[in-house]
Amino acid sequence: MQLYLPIAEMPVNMLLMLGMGAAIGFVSGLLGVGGGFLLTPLLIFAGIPTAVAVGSGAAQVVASSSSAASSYFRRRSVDLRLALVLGSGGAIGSAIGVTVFGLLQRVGQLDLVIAVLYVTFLGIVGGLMLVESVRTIVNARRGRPTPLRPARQLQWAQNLPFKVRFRRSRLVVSVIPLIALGLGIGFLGALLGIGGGLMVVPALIYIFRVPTSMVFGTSLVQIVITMTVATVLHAVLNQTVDAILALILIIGGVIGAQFGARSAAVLRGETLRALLAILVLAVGARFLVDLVTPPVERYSISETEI
Amino acid sequence: MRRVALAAIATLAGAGPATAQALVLALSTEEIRIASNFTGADVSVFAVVDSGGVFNAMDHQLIVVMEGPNARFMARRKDSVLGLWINRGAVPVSAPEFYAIEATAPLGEIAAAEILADEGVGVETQIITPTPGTVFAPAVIADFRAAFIRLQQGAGLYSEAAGLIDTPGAGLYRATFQLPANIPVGVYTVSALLFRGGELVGEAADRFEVTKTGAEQFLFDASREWAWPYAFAIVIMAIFTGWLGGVIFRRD
Repeated sequence: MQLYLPIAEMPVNMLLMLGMGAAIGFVSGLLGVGGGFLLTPLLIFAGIPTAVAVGSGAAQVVASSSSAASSYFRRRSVDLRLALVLGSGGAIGSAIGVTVFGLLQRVGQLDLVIAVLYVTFLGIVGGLMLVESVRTIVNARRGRPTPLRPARQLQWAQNLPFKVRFRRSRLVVSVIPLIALGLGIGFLGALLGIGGGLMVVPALIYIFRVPTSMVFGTSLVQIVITMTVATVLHAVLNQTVDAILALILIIGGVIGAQFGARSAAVLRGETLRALLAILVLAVGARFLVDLVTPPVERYSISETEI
Repeated sequence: MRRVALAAIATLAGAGPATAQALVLALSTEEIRIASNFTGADVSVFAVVDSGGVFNAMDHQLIVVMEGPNARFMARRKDSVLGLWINRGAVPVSAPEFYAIEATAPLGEIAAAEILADEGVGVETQIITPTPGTVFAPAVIADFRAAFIRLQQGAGLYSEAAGLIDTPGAGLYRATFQLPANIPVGVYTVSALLFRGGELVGEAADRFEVTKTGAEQFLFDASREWAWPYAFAIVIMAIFTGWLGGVIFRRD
């Protein structure tokens, strides 16, 4: 069933898009991630213009993360103050990201930068996750516990001003590194159409020592804030958010997420993380292959705004 | 007697535009509306030669040109840089977004290339490559132009076909154009050119419009003209749908 997208100005197969949203929702429910890092590339690989894929993908991330965040809110496992500090950095970062996005689009290097960033970040995050989860699985097989990493306190961060106490996370830390983290994630998120949970969660756990019970809810609220700003600015400045596409993806995603979350109960945590790592690496590899193989058609055309 | 009359007309036709054939155009549609189920459309162009009863279809040839709105494009070319394929060269192009030709015979057999170029037939004549500062060699620009046409043809937006025009009756032609689903919106012009012995003996033009309708038009306008409300509506829709999904499928 073909459906015409008013902003992308092309027809798409509605069932394909719905299925794509559901598949991403399934994976995000299964693995506890936003899924933007899979959705945006899939849309690009399916032929949606990169700019529209990123803009509409951002809207889908808003929906999936607010859905997940609401359940963390009910369980009172959100450090709202921490989320707001991270989110304020994220809002700034995402504004910069959207501006850079528009600039790159005009000079014709958007696809390249997006591909390179996906390769780099997915490669690093996926690689680290795979190593960590495989080590845990191997150790579990051999019947010995995986040693926890030694606490690496941020010594330099202790000397920074503007210390704030985050009671829920039992944390006293300067807001400067938090805002910097949010800013970096917001920038990447707006540029790539991803929430950045893959990067925020490890950073909060390993660098800031935020309790695991608070990490996911807090990071989700931060993602909602950041990606809301990203979606609005993409729509206003770049006019690349397709309402119809976003709606289909959101509906598919909401349904898929429920099945994913149910399946998650059956699988072990480290198995899930290994699966996630392989997925992340596969997407990164696909971008890398596209970057290095000689293209069939070297030329491309894009309409320029008058 | 008949032969004489034809010979007389031929002489007259060669004599000047005063004897040009009256050509009348009719389109199967005046407006193509893009709705959510739009997957492309056909437009039939009817051309009638009003010659007062004396018309020999055999020595006439018809060319029908359908042209979409003009737009500016950027054509880019990838080159290998340190093993990565990166957009290096870029040439601005001004060209119609849609351009299709149908003719009763291959264009080269209908008239000389210069005559066709004078009449604006052939997509090459429509493509202007502005060269501010002229950084590019003519050969490079020719490459980009050829690539541009090739890509547009691949997208179904440019085409040239001979022999697809029906002649249901004497002096009546029907050319059917297939507009693809990715057709750009705007005003399209249709012009029909009647040739005889390599010379233009009649021409007519008409136009139709491709528009988005209903929700498609509304959303497109909203995204451009009321960008802030449009943006907030999407975000609210996203948060609400997400929240609703969480409530409906509540597990805790």
